[in-house]
Amino acid sequence: MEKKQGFFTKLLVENPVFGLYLGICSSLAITTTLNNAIGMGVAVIFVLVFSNIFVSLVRNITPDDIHIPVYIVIIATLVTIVKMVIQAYAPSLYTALGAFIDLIVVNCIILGRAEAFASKNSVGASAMDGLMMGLSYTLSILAMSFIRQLLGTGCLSLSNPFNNATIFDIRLLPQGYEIPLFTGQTGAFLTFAVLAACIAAYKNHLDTLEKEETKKGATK
Amino acid sequence: MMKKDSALYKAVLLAIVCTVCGLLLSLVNGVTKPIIERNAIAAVEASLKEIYPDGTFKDVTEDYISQDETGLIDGIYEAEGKGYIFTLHNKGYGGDFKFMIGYNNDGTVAGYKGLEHLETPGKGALCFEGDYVEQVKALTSSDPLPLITGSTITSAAVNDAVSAAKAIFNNIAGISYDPNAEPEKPAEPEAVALSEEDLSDRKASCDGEVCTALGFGGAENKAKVVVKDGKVESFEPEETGDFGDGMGEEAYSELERYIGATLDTKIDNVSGATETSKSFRAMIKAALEGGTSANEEKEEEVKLTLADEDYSSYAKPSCTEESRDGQVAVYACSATGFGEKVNKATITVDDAKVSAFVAEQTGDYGDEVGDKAYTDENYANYVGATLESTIDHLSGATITSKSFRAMVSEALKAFGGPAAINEEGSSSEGKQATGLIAEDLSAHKASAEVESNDGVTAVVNCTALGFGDKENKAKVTIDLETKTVKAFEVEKTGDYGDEVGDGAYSDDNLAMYNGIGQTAELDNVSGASITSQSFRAMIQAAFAACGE
Repeated sequence: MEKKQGFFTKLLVENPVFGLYLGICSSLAITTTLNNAIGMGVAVIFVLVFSNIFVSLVRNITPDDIHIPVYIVIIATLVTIVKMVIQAYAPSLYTALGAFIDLIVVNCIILGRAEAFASKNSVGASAMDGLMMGLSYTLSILAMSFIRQLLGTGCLSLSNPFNNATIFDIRLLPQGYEIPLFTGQTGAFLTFAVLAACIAAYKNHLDTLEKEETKKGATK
Repeated sequence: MMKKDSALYKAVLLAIVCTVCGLLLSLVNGVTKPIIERNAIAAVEASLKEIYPDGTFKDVTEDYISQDETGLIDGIYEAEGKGYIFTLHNKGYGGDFKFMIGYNNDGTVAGYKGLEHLETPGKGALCFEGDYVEQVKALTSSDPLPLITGSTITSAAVNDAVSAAKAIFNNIAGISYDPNAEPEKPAEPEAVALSEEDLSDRKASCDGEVCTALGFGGAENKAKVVVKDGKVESFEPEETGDFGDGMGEEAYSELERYIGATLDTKIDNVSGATETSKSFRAMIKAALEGGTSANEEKEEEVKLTLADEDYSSYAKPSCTEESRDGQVAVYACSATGFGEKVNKATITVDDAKVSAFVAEQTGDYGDEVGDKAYTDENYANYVGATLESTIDHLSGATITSKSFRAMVSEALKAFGGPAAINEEGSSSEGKQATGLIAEDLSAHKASAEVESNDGVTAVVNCTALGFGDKENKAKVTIDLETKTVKAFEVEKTGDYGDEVGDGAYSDDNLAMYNGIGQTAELDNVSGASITSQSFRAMIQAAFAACGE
């Protein structure tokens, strides 16, 4: 139970988007539909996991002064591979995400984790870290997309990016009650702000709980 | 083992990392590139196949687009072994439009098709339809595109875009050409007399000497028009309305053509300023009519009865009686219609009333101007008419309507009484036959040439004018002993085929001529009076030629 809670807590609290405020550009820009969120999330997971693996592999042979160019080359290569694959096999996703696929290279999460974790830990741990961070990121942008698509268009829809087949498309708000504001940039900031505030509140709550625990422990 | 800190080590490491990454990239690229290319083409392939149905295409835009300075080219596709297709866009009258043009490797145009546009139908849209498309397809990569009158903006825009494509294609194919060749100025449509031209869409109106009308883009043009004695004395357009668009400026300086104009004058458009020219003509028309040109009906307030209306000066109708059966007569009539062309109609009169009116689709039919008059709906207007009726003319087909009324009037006059018939000079008094030898058939100008005469039988080749003054021919064999017609063989030429007189050519009807003498009384074949008369005329002439 503890472990599970810890897992979810980690996801929520050490959330790169709402907790560490990394990779905000893409989360604001592309989170208009669920499809985009899932597509981007998978791309980021792939890049994160493999960049962490490769960085971890070369961490011992890379001298400090050139570690940034080396990491960037690795990340850029991976992103380019992802881009080519998406362009070939899921062209509709490619058009939807557009330039933001290329911008994964400069997504702070990737280089951030490479610096902070992968350069100091084993390959296995790095891979795991990459996966966790990636999942966390994906969940965050899924949450944003969910809210923005629901409020902005009144529908929730998902389609297979490889062949454009609709998986589901349901209207939850009656026609005319949607708030198009949420599909635009203003809505993005608003949603982000609210979600960030919620996470911050939860974090504070956890901190308070912890303090009480240590207090209790101290008095014991 | 190199020292980790040495520059060499760092350089080598970087080189290795880059190489490995490069290899990985080229590997993935190799796999995905063909798929990506195929996808890119798939979107346009359907359109490309309309030009080269069996072609395999390659998107070569990247290779050549840098040569294009105009920015009008969207895509360049190579149809392997056949030619190149360019997808282009430009701004037309209604907004952006997209189209594609394909060139074969030898320079001829392989295809031309509009992909999307918002142009006005009948104007800008003509650039992507029918005749214009065929015209473009007949060109080569060296020729400029023709302009279309009335859609100058759009056709010029198309021309500019195609010029960009030509520049690149001729470069690829190595064809030399003159990039500054001027496109042909379009042939202006033949001008129409002001009274006939339908300018009601211009909503022209005059308040004293100041007239307004809608010009280019719906802008209201104003002009001062002074009319004296039914002629335009002066025409001064204000420099407002559509002036200043850069399009119709010439029209504001080419004003001589309006001076002295009357309602019958034909005024040409100023090339490249069609809309403005039309608005000017509309204002002049309104001024000359002394009201609004939108209400043509006002002009003809006083309608004359068919008996009173004077047709002698223009329509000049004439009718010949085709058949008469008691109270019902059928007349083949003709009258001058629009543009001096002769209209024809078949009119059935029953008891001094028109019971049927059908006009032939000849004469001024086909001009589009008066074609509305040639509908069954319009013909119904004439049914039931008598000499005391007044029949409305059809708006926009004034002259044609007049020609129809003229024919009806003439037919009714011909019907009413024997006196009227004689006026026509028709040589047949109804269907009653007269003795052949006594019949006056001189109108048919029959001639006879004896082919052979052996004292017993004579064979005579005869001609005579039949229906519509067409020359009928027949071979008449005469038995000289009994002085009767042994055989009458008529050629199926002359007025045969008109359907009107063909009944006379049937074997049954031709049989009536066998064995007849010079005093025979022959009937007209019903519905083929004139043809029958021509036959009798030939037989008369044959007898005469045999010296009887």
